[in-house]
Amino acid sequence: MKITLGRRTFLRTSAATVALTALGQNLAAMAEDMPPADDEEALYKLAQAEGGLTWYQTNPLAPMELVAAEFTKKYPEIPVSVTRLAGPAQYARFVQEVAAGQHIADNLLMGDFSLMNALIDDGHMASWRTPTHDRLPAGFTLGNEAFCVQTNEIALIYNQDRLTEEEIELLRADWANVLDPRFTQRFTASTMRCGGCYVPVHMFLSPQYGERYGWNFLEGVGRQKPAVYSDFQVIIDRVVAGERDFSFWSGSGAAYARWDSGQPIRWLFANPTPVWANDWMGVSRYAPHPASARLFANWWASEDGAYALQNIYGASTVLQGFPDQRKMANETWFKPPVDSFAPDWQRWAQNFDSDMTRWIDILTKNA
Amino acid sequence: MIKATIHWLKSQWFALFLTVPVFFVAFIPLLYVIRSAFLEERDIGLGTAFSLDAIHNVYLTLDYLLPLWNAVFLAAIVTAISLIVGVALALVVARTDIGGKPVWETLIIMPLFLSPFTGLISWVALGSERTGFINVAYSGLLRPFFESVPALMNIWTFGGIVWVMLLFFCPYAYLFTLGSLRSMDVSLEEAARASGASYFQVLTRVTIPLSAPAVFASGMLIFVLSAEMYTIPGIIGTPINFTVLPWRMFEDMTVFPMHHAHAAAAGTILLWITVLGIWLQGRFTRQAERFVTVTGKGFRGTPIRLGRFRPFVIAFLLVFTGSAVILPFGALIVMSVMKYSAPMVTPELLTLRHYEQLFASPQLSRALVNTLGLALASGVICVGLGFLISYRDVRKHGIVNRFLAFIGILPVAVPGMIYGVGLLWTYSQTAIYGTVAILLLAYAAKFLPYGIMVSRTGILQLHPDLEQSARISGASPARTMALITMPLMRGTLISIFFFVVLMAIREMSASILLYTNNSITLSVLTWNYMDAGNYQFAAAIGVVQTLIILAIIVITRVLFNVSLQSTMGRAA
Repeated sequence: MKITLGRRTFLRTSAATVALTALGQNLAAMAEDMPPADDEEALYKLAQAEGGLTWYQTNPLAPMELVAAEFTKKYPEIPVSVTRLAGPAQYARFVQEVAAGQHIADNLLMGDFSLMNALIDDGHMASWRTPTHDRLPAGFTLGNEAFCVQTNEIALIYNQDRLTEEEIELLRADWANVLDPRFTQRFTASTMRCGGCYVPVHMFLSPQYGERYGWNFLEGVGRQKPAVYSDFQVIIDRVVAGERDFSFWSGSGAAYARWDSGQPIRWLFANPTPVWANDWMGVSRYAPHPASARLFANWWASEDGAYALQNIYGASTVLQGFPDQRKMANETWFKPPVDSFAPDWQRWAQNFDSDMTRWIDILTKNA
Repeated sequence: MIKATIHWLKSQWFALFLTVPVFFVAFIPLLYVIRSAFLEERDIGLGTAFSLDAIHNVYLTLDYLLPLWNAVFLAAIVTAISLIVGVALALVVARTDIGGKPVWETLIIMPLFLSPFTGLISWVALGSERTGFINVAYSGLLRPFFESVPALMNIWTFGGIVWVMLLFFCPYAYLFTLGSLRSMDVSLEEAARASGASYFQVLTRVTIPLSAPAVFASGMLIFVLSAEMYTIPGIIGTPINFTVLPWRMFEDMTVFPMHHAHAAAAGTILLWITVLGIWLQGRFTRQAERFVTVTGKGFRGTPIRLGRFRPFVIAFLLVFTGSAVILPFGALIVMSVMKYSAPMVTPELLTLRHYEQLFASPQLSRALVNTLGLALASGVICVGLGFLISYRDVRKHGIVNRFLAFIGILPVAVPGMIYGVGLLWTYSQTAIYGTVAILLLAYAAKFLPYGIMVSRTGILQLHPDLEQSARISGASPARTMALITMPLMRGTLISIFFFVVLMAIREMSASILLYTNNSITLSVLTWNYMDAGNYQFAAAIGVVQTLIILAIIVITRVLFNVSLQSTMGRAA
């Protein structure tokens, strides 16, 4: 098919493209005029002139709105408009908007390391080194473009009225104990595809643990006839309701808000526990409110931010020198992970799709 | 040649004028979707190079053909059962002496007020194997007598998918058939009775055959809507190894690594299914002209006396309304006041905090205003455009009019999510991106097919003689339309309006892709909380959404003296 572009259309399109490019460059130029990261007063003054900011983020909306409200409490006149866009949807939306010259998001919080990395590689994230940059552990920063202030710890979430102390200790001791006949048909599993859904599979198949677990172990889990659901939140909800006694892994953060609101659940960390950097925060290079965006990034990485994340979202923060002040930290049932496992991102990228497909096949063929 | 062209253009100016917005809103986004099916894929997006990989994989491998078969199989079963139940309900309401008709009429269409996704959440609470309210109550009743009581139902099965879907689709079959039964020339049935035919013979040889075009139209609509539904079959089906094509598309669009080209290619399959359906419906409704009735006076015959069958018919109505209305709405209300999911409702579990949080949320008022504004505006657009397009297609014929009707109906074929992506690509560089206006375009395009299809059936039931008489008497085409056609179609047009309003209030799949915080709708708000696992809060929004729809029905009745459930029944 031959498409003819009229002269007028061509000129209009060119003009629009030039205008959008110029706008993008202007925003980037504005960003370069920012005060130093530790000059909070100057940054706040600029941010006040800008108004609020828009934050695209991947986590449940309600707790994140509360976390954002803590920021606004500290910095009045800077409201945060929180938009929930999970995983690839956030990446796709942001890239689409950038391509169209629609600069809406100021800050991004992405759950997937590789997606944030792709945005950095493509030059979409601003370079901004927060004042607490050096208090984040190695592996929790991506240059000066993105950083992570919390870990995701994989847990078995259980209904506190349905597991005995002995059973809890058994599960805590080793993942392999889930194959004990007493647990047949007593747990839930998910066919969802996401980072948290994959990381234990990634660990079971790793060179370190492949011999101990491997596909044989996962096949055995399938033969235990778990109740399989399509979504992580559903498997936790079914545990809360008592449909099954525990979930065969979820992110512990997903359980915190429920536990905090009085739901009858707790969680345990089976040994070894997959723990990895989760929720990558960055400032858009085209942020329409560049000072507000940077102020928010600073706050997110600060002790105030860590406190809000711990107490509202139950996040396990990694800001060095900042203690764990989460409500459950002093509960007798809560025991932190013993041995942790960190993912190998290269092997992850290579095997994610095929491993998840096989794992889902195991779950569904036994359903 | 030039003169002939000018003459043709003059005669077609209005159709061409209508074609422009329909083309840009309904057709261009689809072209974007089709184009993207031919692009290479990267892990996190589409490239620019041409590739046939997606088309090959979707059309020629079991990875997609099996989910396609599952979708068609499921849609066929849901359509067949919905038609049987829906037609039976319509016959009971329109042709028998059953008492309390206004109540039954309202109850039967009530499933339309609830989004299928919200309904699914209700049925999870009701029909889960060990903790569903129904199974817990059943077990509680029988436990004193039996050692072990098996679950009465399990919603997490293939049967569960069919059950939940058909409860939501039966009202479509009911409404279409009811409309046809009410506008049917009753003298045909009376003649059959006078000739000695039994009630059963009249039903099977006269009434149902005369309603066949409407039943077929509703069947096609149910089939298309079932085949494109991804939420219910996806959420229940995936864990039991039953994947349907729309869910596969949803995963391709949202899960890493993304397969946008595959999702678009799969969308084209659904498009072909709808094109086939439109063609079949066109052939069928053309035959329907043989059954044209001008009456509009409604059924005035003697209703069938139920006699000794009355208890069975009442039981049938109770089972349907209990399953489709009372139980899911009841579960929704109960969930909305529970602190968390539990198998039993105890006083300490009850709370009003979800409503308190909801009404304190600034997003609620924004979502309410956006939802109502979008629903009313898309209702007006779909009634106006749908009527004009169908009128020209039925009365004027011609290739432009047929093309216009064809492209106007196409968006019904593509799941809202895929269509939303097309719209996003089409309008992302315009000023309407990120505003409520892009949602309005999505709604108008997505629901215009209903405007076209339903008004087409209504126009077919009006004999052209009436309009021709007006024209012979000197009335202009516009005057004829305003004074003859539209008043005679008042019921149909009102019903299209409210039908679109209902659908717009529930719309979720395209809205999720296109919304920003300023253009958030109630459905998106519900999705956000459901996705975060806050089902009780989402249930509270579902209750508010249902109350709004009920308020619309009451206000319509009080202000305009229009009984929505009756006019919707006349639509088909």
